[in-house]
Amino acid sequence: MTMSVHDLVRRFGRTTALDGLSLELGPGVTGLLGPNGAGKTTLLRILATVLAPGSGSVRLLGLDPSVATQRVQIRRQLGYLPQEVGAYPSFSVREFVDYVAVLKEHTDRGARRREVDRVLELVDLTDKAYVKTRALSGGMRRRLGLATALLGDPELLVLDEPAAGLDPRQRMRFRELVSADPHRCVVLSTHQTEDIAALCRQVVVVDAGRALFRGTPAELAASAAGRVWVGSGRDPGASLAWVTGDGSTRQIGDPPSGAQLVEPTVEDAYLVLVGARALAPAGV
Amino acid sequence: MTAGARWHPSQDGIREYVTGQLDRVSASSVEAHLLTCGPCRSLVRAHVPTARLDAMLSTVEDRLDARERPRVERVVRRLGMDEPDARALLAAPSVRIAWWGAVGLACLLAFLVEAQESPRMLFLLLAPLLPVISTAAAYAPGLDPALPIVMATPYRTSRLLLARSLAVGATAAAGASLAGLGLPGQRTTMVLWLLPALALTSMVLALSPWLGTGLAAGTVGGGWVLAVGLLEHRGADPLVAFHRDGQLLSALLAAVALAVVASHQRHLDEGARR
Repeated sequence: MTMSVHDLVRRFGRTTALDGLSLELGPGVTGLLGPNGAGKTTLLRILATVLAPGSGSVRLLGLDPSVATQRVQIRRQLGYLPQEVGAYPSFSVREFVDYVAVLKEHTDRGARRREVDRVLELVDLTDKAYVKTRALSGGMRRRLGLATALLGDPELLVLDEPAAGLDPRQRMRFRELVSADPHRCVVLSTHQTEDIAALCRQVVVVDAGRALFRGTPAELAASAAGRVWVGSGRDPGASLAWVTGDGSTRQIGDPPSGAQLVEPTVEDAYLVLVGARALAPAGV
Repeated sequence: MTAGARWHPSQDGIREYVTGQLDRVSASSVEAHLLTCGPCRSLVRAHVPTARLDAMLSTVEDRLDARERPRVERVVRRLGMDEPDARALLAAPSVRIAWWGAVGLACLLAFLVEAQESPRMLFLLLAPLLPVISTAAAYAPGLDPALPIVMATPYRTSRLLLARSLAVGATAAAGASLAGLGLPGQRTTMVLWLLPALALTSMVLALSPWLGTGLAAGTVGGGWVLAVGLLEHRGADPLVAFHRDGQLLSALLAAVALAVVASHQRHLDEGARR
């Protein structure tokens, strides 16, 4: 397995962000789904080696990130997109990517220039290369962060909400980018269940610091079979219900006898698992 | 991911550029455009050998890079610092904020000293705190917005934070020394505070992995103020740290704290990961 974590616990003061979470991830794209505050960002920060777990073990590429020398080896093969891309406002896009490339040991100036050009081209920021980062929109900042993560074509990609703020065309381009190499291990968090369905080999549903589900998107969708139905109004057994575009009410929960069951989607299954907590505010 | 509408040189313009018929200003515009436009580079490549075009673009980019690099970075590179160290040291706005903060605090100290009837005592008590505050500001991970991205690179976070702390601490020490120039009487006053300042600053760095930078600075700085206050309260000499025994104790504490920092550098990395 490329990444494995066992019995991870991480607390921030009195808040428990991870509560004994265990996972094994191989090559391909793995999506993390979960409500705000479920512990996704904490897990991704630990996988990106920028946060130490309170207890539990982590192995990345067969190495232990708690050992300083092994951590450096992992970071040579790691690309990380944090939840907030904090770029220096006085830097141009090119200057910032170049700065990260310097820290990623791209010491040869010519080779570094070509690498910076390559990743800017990949995220379609070539024409913004000399624009100051403070002038970038939210979506462009995500692409800037993605460019720094792709430097050196890393074996591990850890991406925290990479599709946030991207328009539909950019999201398609993003899907192409992260799925291009089937041997690369990509783990990403998202609130877009359609990204999970379209992109991910494996999906993990996280809630209250624990993994509620691990499997393929198809298995996740199938787990909600018999729990999703449509009707003309909200039934008493529905835990969630909404009126769809055709005027019918799609419902999730315990269907009444004779209900018109429908084939569940990944989003339906996620809502069945997490329920009303999917709508909760705030994040950890 | 889409590119908006933008200017491109015409086919004729590109032909005139590759045959050297374009005037210098227009040629510079085309070259600047080629740096950021893959399709136009492809058009030029049809007329110019790839190696020659890459060499030309490299020259243009070297000129742009040299112009873009801040003067301070160019100076420290000339002094022999490696490019990664120079970039890491000087990139973050937090360093500039801490630098200006150090200068501002030194000015405030000079003003306070000037306004006092017994300026020597006030100076000696406050000056050692200046590098402590400045170092904590430069070291504080929260002040560098790009730190999450930087920390995930192989460049050691401890090296980064220590370099920034030392650079800002040295600036603060220089500022405090300049403030000390305004003191009347003995010139030795100017240097007596240096060892206590080094001891306090080293202790902050040594404690940071366990306490966090802010708490470490608060604990050490608060401890200094409390100790001075207690000595004053008990009728002892509050300036004991500036006498021979106090100087020796400061040197010892600084040596121990720096040894802890050097031998436990991995703890500094771990501290940043907390």
